[in-house]
Amino acid sequence: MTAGMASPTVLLRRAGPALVLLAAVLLGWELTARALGNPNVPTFGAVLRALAGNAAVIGPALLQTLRRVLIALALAIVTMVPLGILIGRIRWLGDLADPVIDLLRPLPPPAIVPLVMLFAGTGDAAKITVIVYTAAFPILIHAIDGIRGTHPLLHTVSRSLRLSRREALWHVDLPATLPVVMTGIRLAVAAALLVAVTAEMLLSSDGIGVYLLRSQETFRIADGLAGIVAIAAVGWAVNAAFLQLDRRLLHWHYATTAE
Amino acid sequence: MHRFRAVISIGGLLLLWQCLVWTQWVNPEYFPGPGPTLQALWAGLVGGELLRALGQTLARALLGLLGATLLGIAVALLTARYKLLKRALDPVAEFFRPLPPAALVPMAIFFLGLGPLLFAFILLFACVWPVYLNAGAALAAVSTVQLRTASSFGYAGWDRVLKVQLPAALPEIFIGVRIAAGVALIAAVVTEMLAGRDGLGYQLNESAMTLRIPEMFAALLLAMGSGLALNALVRAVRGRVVRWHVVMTQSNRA
Repeated sequence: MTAGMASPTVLLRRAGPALVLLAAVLLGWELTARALGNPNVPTFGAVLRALAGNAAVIGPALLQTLRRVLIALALAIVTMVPLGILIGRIRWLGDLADPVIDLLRPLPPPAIVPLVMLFAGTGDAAKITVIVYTAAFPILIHAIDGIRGTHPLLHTVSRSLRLSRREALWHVDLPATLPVVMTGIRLAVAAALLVAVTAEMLLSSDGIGVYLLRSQETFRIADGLAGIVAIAAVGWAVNAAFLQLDRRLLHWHYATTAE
Repeated sequence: MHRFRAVISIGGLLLLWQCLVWTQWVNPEYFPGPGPTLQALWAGLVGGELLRALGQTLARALLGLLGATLLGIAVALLTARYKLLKRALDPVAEFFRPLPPAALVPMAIFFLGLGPLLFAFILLFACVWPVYLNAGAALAAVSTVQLRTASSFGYAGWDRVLKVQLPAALPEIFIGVRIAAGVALIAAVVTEMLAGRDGLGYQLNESAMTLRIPEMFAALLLAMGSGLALNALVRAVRGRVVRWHVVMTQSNRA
């Protein structure tokens, strides 16, 4: 828990090399762009100015995107974790579901965008459907693997404690699966963000994906690059926040695995 | 027995699909049954339209995956040799990894046009981070016992990295390659949808826009098939390259 509280000097020493590399790359970019003097190759400064200048547009667009991601993730978690536990625990259901999952999983999620568009149009529902579909698989697969991988001893113990099937599911199986499910959710977060931007671009109406398209169509390159920087920053922040959440929620797990 | 169950399950899925169409619970205009879809698939494959698209998408995904694998492993080896480089590069890689390939397409079109360069850049950029991050972590995680043993046998510098660390890390490196294989197909299809004039992604968009729905379903099936094929390919290569690992873990489990 103290990992996030390292003293500034330790932090600086740890992040130092990365900062040096980053500074070198950015300096190289700035100098190249200046030397070229081509208006189609904006300098890093110009991109930063564009980021600041367009904050009023980029901010709400990103929030719109994040809102969809969050709704879709919540839907996927609420449906897929119980489904995964059922598939993992009930033998015949697993036998039926496994081949179907294996078959559907490799389908690249953006490929279903045209199909979803036919049924749900281009609105919020269509985008959220695509994101739910994307997020569903990592969560479902990890839930199944997690429940199948729980130690057989846990099962025996809950038997000898005479827990009912439901009690065992709720108090033993679910917590035991959570660390694995969390990994699945983390993968789902990354994939959801990725597909959200893609879906917005294909079903254009609003969100950061549309902002990027507009920047391209109107040849505002610095603005577009600013959007990319903003997406990368948000993606990184969401990932970091989720890692923190994971550690906090599952501290009992990390405490016992001595990491 | 395993095969048998798979047949039942896939057959059930097809039956469910057909029933959905029969009950007309979904708009049949937008939801053709397995029959028309397979017909469109056959026609597209024989006619060459879908076959060409499949070839283009697979070629892009494969070349991108191959390039990103080589590049990612090469950089990871460099960072295994020079630790400072790893500390410098890892945060940068973590920053770029969550960037959706689709987000790069509009800007990349400016600099690279709509040709093969665009695909090369997008695919490399999308696939290289999972390969590098997994390979870097795997190389760094080689046990100290192995490293010390290697040192006492006189391995040092590049020798140690290439002859001890790399083989030990290979099984885990393939995890990154498998993740990248999925990403490669997504990136190829997305780029074709946004900027392409051919390939499965383009076909998907095009047949949806012109309401040739069975053709769209056929393209979807092919996209799914491509994913299965890529997975199988990576697994086959893995089985070849790290055969000893597969054999060992299987005998352990038994």
